[in-house]
Amino acid sequence: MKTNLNLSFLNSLRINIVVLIYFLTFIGCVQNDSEFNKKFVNFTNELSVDVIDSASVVVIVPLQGCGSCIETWLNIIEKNGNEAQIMFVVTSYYKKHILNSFSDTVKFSDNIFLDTTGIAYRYNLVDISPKAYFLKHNTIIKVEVLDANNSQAVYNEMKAFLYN
Amino acid sequence: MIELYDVKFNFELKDMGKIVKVTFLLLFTIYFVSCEDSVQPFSKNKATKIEALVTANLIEIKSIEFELDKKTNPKSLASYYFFDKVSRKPYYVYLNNFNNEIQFYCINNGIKEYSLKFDKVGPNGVSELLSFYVKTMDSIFLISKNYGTLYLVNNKSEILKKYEVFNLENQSSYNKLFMINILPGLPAVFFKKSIFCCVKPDFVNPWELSDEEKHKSKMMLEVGLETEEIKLLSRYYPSEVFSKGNSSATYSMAYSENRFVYSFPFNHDLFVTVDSVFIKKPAKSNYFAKFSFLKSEPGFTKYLKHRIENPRYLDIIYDPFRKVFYRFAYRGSVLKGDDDLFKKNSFPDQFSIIILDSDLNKIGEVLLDKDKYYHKMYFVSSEGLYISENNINNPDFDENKLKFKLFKLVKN
Repeated sequence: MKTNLNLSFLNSLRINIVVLIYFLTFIGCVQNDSEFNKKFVNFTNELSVDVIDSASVVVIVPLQGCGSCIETWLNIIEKNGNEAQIMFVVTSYYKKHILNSFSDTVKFSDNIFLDTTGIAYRYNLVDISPKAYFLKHNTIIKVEVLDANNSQAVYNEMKAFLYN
Repeated sequence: MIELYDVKFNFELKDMGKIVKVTFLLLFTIYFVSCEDSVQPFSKNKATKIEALVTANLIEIKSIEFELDKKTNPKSLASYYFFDKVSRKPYYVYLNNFNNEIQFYCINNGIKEYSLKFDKVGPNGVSELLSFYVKTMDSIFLISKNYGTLYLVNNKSEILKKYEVFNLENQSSYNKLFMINILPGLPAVFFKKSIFCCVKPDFVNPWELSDEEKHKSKMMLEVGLETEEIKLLSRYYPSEVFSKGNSSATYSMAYSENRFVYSFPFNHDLFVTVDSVFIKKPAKSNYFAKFSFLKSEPGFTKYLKHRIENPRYLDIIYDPFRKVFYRFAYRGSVLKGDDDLFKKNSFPDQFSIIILDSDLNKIGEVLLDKDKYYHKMYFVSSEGLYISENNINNPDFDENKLKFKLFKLVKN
């Protein structure tokens, strides 16, 4: 009797442990996703980026890191800086670095945001390559790491996401 | 059988409290490691006891400043002291990558006196500059994103010669992708009508190579300035550089009196060439004891965290005016949750300078102030050692100035 009681208690404990492990792992990850989203919202608020609720794409381009990836996206910004629903954030610790990277027309476009104190780095939203954040209702639904090879494909994907 | 169960479960019941405690501990552990961002940082190595015998010190003397224009980067990976024997003036020569140019600041008055701008394409195109070395005002060596080509240019930004160093034969497969390095911590050395440059294998994934394979990599390149003969010297990485789990091929080199002195980030000893053989000289920092290595490809965030939290040696430089060496050492830092990893990595918060005499005996070590100096911009002049204060975390940082502190060597 004593043995049966102990056995069933241990079996139930074992099941509970498994359930708890899954639960905590899941919660841990969900919290991180939600934390990440919160970080992103703080970031857009700090830079006054007006994210459109229905669908938006925010492209963050660091000025240090993968040279060819960055150059490709700087050229895209230079050509498409007026693509109103794509928000381009250019990040560096040096204001003069950003100011020296674009023509005046682009620098002062409404959808170009100059992150001159490296806020995107502080929130770990970008590393050595540019990144595109796809948003719906202020929630990140996809992140694409951008390089020199995928530029056109991802740019087309952004347009499809925004206008379809 | 039942007896056996009885014994077993009686025992477990007796220790049920312990089981529950262990279970909760396990659950909390799983919770904290379940997602990558929650991983706790490595603990910092404790500093070892500071040596009692110190016979040399570096004393702060004065600050100097160079005014930067709006188109000059306040940070550069390539900058040197250069004394022009014709004008008898000392210069701080600076690569400004915003404008693909080399600027000459007169150290006596802080004024930018010359600037050489280089085309990226065309007959005198050199691509995007990465580094340079001024031999004379009319003889400047350049390396650029046209990897594998060493350019010799004059003071009109015209190409005098191109050395195509990538067309080397007899390379080991590990050296097929390598970088020529000419930097303040890897200076070009001129000897018997040749230029000697450091080269570094470009391991695509060093964790996939065996120590033996990495050891087969060569470290120096000789370019005959007149003959244009180019060869990799049979100077291989010392085997112990890769023997304890290190996968980094990075190193720094200083040259004096026919000796090449190599400093590896994860080795306390210096490796000195004497008659083509390495001799080891101890040159350990007082501020750390052990190194930590990543065992596999870590992903970018973990790599940055590991780099910030763990100690390593930085550049070694030779001071020909006082005949001493300075070895920079980073002791690692403790990360906080909201730290900017990029900033912490680019601007290590605190480093020390080990002073070694001409025989490479350690004669002192000075720990510099926190968040004040930038370890990649420095130069040695007849006055002493200048260290850049263009650390972005320095409250006095101004992106329109190059600021330096002069340190004077004092021997007891």
